[in-house]
Amino acid sequence: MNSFSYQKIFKHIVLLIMLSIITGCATTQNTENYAKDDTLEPANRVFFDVNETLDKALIKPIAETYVEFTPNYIRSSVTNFFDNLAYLNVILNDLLQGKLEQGFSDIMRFVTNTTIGVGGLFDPATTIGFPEHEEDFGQTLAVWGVDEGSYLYIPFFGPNTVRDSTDFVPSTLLNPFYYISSTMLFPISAINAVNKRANLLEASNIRDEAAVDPYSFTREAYLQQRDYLIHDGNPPISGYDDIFDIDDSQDDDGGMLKID
Amino acid sequence: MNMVPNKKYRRSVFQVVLFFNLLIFACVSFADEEQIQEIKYPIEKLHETLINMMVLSDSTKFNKRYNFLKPTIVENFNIPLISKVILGRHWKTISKEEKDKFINLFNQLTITTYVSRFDSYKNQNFKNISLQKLKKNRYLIKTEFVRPKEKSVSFDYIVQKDKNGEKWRIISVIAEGVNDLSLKRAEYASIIKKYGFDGLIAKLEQKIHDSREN
Repeated sequence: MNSFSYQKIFKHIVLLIMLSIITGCATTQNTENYAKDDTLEPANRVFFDVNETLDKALIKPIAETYVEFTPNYIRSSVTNFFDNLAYLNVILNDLLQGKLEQGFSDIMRFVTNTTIGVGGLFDPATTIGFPEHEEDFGQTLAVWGVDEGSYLYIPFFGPNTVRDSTDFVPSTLLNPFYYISSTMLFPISAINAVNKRANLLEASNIRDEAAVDPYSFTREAYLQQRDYLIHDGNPPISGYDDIFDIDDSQDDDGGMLKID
Repeated sequence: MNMVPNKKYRRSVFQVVLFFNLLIFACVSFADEEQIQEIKYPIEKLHETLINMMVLSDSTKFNKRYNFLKPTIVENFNIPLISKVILGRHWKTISKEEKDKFINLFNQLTITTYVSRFDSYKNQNFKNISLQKLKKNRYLIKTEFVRPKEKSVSFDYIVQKDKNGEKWRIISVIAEGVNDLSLKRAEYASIIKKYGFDGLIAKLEQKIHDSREN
């Protein structure tokens, strides 16, 4: 059996494992919202520590070196290229959520960037008036009324929820890379991974600088960010200030202290 | 014969009513506009100071920038209320001295975080987007931090008058949909559970120290 077949089999196995995890979790968790309680915290924290150790020892230094030695315009083209390849999934989820106008704009974006943008290396679509949107199957399920389920920290993939992890299937099947069997696949995937990590350097540095408990910080920020994306950047304002009424927080709204 | 003065009379009454209506409308609009300005003041003051601090950043050391920003944070944030909300149910379990210590430390952490994040000026600016009323006389103000050549970052604020009703102050900051208050509430609860309140204080002191050193 040659190396191409091994790669194909490996991809199918990963996909099947993910499918069984997702469907397994989805059937046992029903529609109740467990994510706020973090029922899987012990396991999540173990995976988080593994990822963090691996990241600090290997992935982050590689990403930093990549940023140091790669000009901005090349990094930007690499990001454009991989984002464009993944864009069919955005279009599908536009349509599944009933966002027809946005779906049309995203089809135009994909066509423009694939052709005039030389296979997605450049992004003329934004200038023309077809901006980038962020949609995935997790957001679609949320729009359809499915609860997020347990918070999951998945090794190598990072923060997720049962609902959001379902995106793995359509995003993999709709990415042209999935259908390529070539010795070039692994190096190209590695560039994608390093580039993705490089794009997250600013965010991860902010977290490292601010967080006293990086696990809780990552989890809370992820869940809030997802809610923000599900509502396309405009979450309903009811509930925005509920946190101030939980503990009757107005009691000792004190005067200002002298600051050292 | 009676029709003429009657008509004149009606016209003058109409004019007087119209005048007073316009006057009332103008006063209400003026009062509304004045109140809107008062509500927006803490955010506009914060943004103005941040931009000025960023302009200074290349030539001015951390401590100087810290002292430059400090009065704006102290004046325009309600740190005691924020501290209480962040510590949640733990607030009632700690002594007055511990509360004061936390408030003081959290004030320092807030200033330190702003000083280290807004550390270079590349023609960025803040843009006001909208103002909406929430429950209990709180307001949500949406703004955007515009960065040339980079994606803009949304910064939303919740403001509320302090307890003595004198001044509107910021009680929450939400960056790109992530509420700093909820984030810290979750984080600090987890630290207190593991290491106790003293452990949290030690970690915050370490954070402030590290930011100043870097």
